[in-house]
Amino acid sequence: MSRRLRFIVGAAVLLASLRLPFCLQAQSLREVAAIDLPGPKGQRFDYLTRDDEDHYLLSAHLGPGLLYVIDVQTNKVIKTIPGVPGITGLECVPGMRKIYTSNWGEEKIGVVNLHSMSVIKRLPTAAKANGSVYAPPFRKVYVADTLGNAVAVVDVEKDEIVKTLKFNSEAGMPQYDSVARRIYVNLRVPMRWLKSIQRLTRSPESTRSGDASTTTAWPLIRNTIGPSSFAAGAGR
Amino acid sequence: MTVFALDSHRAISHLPLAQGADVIKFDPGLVRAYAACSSGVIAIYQEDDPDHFRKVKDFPVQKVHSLAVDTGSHRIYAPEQEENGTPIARMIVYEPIQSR
Repeated sequence: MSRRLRFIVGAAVLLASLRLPFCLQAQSLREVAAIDLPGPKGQRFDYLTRDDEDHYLLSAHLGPGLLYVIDVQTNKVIKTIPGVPGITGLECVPGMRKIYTSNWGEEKIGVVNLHSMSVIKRLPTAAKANGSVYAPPFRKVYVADTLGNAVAVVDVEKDEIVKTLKFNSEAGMPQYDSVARRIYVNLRVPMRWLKSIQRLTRSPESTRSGDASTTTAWPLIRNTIGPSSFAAGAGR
Repeated sequence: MTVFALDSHRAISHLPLAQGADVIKFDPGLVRAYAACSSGVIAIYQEDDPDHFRKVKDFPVQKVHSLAVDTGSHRIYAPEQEENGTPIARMIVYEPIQSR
């Protein structure tokens, strides 16, 4: 084998050994730990988020209204923070050691300080505060108020809602696109509208057979609520 | 599960998803996505390149709604409220393994 060919084969083997463990070999999961949580059993959990600076995992226990702070280096619960009724979404702001919680049970956005491990402020908002996202360049957290058909814009320096964006539809989980510097919000049609549209668009065949899955409503709805339904410039 | 390209604003891949899917997270180090499904699986997807994705498997778990990925350790965290019908309050930790 020539030196050139040996070099090419060697490089190929090296590249394969670097790539294989990540994309081809690691293809399943195994349970490595189970962390018992101190809240009541059998009640619903919701979103999770990470605080990479402190190596914390933050977990929303919606049912009892608790926020767990878990150290992922030790897999221990280091604090259970009460006073976040109906907590759904939660978002960490790096560098400020603050968590913004969507408290469905009191229709407020909670501000949790990770120094004191307590709720330091509550911001009244529209109905069912839910998923949220932080846009670092704008220093703002965007909170979807699902049943209020709105997104609340929270200034993390002032801990105040500086703007509320209103829509004609329920607002789903927002996401931040750091390249385009935009916030994307899923606008979803309320279930009562879905039922009305299904009734109006059910084909004669499906009506006869009683098979609702063959109605023409679903393609219509899918076209209406795609991920690009709304894109607002962050911070505006 | 739909992959939506932010630069072209197009859906570029549609893959099967188990029932009751809720939160989905991406691990950029492993270029893998995980979806928590209340039907009792974590659905695993692999990005082969930015335009090509495939479903790896439905990994069986208890009923889950949400999960988080530690992008440093590549571990996955998923809270569970019941185990085979028995009420619990527990955070389960998973890590990727090689499949044979």
